[in-house]
Amino acid sequence: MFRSRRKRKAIGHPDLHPDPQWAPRAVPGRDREPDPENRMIDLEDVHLAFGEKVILDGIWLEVDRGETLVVMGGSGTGKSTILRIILGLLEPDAGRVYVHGVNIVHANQEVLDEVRGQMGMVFQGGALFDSLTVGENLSFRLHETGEHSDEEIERLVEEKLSFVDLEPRVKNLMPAELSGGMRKRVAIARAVMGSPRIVLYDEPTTGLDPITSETINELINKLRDQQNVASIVVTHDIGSALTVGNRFAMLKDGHITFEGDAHAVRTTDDEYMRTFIDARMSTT
Amino acid sequence: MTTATLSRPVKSALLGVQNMSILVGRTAVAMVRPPLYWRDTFVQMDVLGVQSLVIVTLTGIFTGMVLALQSAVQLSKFGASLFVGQLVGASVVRELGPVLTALMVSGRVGSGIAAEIGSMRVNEQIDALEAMGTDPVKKLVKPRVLAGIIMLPILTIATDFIAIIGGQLISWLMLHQSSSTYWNAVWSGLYLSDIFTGLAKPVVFGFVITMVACYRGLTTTGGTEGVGRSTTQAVVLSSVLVLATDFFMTKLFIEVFGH
Repeated sequence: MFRSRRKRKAIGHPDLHPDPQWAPRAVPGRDREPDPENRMIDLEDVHLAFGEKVILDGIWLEVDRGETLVVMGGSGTGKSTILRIILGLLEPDAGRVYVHGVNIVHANQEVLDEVRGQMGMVFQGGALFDSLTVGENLSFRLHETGEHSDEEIERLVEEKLSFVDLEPRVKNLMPAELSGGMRKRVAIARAVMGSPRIVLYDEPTTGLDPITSETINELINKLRDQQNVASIVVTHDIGSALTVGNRFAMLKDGHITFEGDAHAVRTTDDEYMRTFIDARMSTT
Repeated sequence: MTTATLSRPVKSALLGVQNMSILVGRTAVAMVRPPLYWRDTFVQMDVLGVQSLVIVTLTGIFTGMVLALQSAVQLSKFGASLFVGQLVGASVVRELGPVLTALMVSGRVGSGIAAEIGSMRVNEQIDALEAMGTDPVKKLVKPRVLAGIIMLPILTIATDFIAIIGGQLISWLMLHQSSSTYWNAVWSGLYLSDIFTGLAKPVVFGFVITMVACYRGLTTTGGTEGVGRSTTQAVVLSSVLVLATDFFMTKLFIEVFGH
């Protein structure tokens, strides 16, 4: 009865058109020319520092539709910061961040809201709203936009729960009643609720047992293959990274020190990359 | 002490004032822009208002009784016990009702708001809201501030009324005053401006308490320990600001109304 209806910015807003100066960069190691239609994310020379501490020092990254880029690196190197910049939760000190050609740096709130509508984010701890049921968590975004009927929302909630292999009855549970693996699956279901074209994952398998981790990896791949979404997975779980990733980037001291495909990861001579992989493999 | 060590806390305080001012500005803009979040506002009105009724009732009754008890003892010495109602009514409506209600709400609701929003901040739920294109100021701050502005005057009216009833109880038991004598004294001690000032103050107090609590919640850092710290700071800061605001508003009203 008292549901809030939000008037969203029209898709035709001039700021939502691709920046005329934007030309997608070629992906390193790839023969074909970059396709602006398929390019979903472009980070160009992004810099960010918190006070004296430099977090990102000239980051260039790109992700195409149907591709999963895995960003690896040690703790505190700024991996999650990259996701927050792409979501517009953090503004870089310098550089450009294009989401399907739209530069979101210095974008106004309406443009940011519209761009965020094309993205889903799976937070490290799930970030489910404690005071809402699973069903309400899933339907939150749709209720906010006010563009769907209650019946339609009900159907979509059950459809997304089924997508992450959860029974419809789960929608009535509170987040506190869910196991770690279920929370992650609900978080994924919530992230894909508005059928986003980009999904960002922050440590999706951290703290999960190997079997549940594998289930989450399968879901990430299923989402990429079935819905052709562009994904960025931030992780230091090498096993998970190699299962879900098409391309890999290593972040160290604010720079991307390695970029390549799975074969390049396995055969790299990069000393830090080798040390990182060997150390992680020995702990798993 | 060097200039550098002096300037750090000053800079930090100035930054806090600046951020708080920005939040106040954004909240003011959000008040007049959709979505309205009426459902959230009604929920908060229930939490802040209806669920605080018991505590303000207890505060009111004991305040009124103590006030009547103290004044009855003193005024009886001069044969002026008829003025107990006047003293209780004026004190409660002008000062004690608004301030005590605000302090109780600050302790009960301010801490709750800071803890709830602070937990949402450290668990990335605020980020999740923003990631889904929802403005936390509109979704979380606006309903709470609106509820504070609307419900605190209502709670103050309840406190005032109950406190005067408490005073009546004491004047009847100790001084054997009739109900009409007591209430006539209450009315004779009140001006229309007292009613106005007594209701204007809680509107500002409601705004101050909820804004401070929301600000502390939104700026929480440092995990669960940080949530505890924010909660304490919210109660302490809002209580001090309520008392400070009360002084300046009283001064202003005295200038305007002359009493």
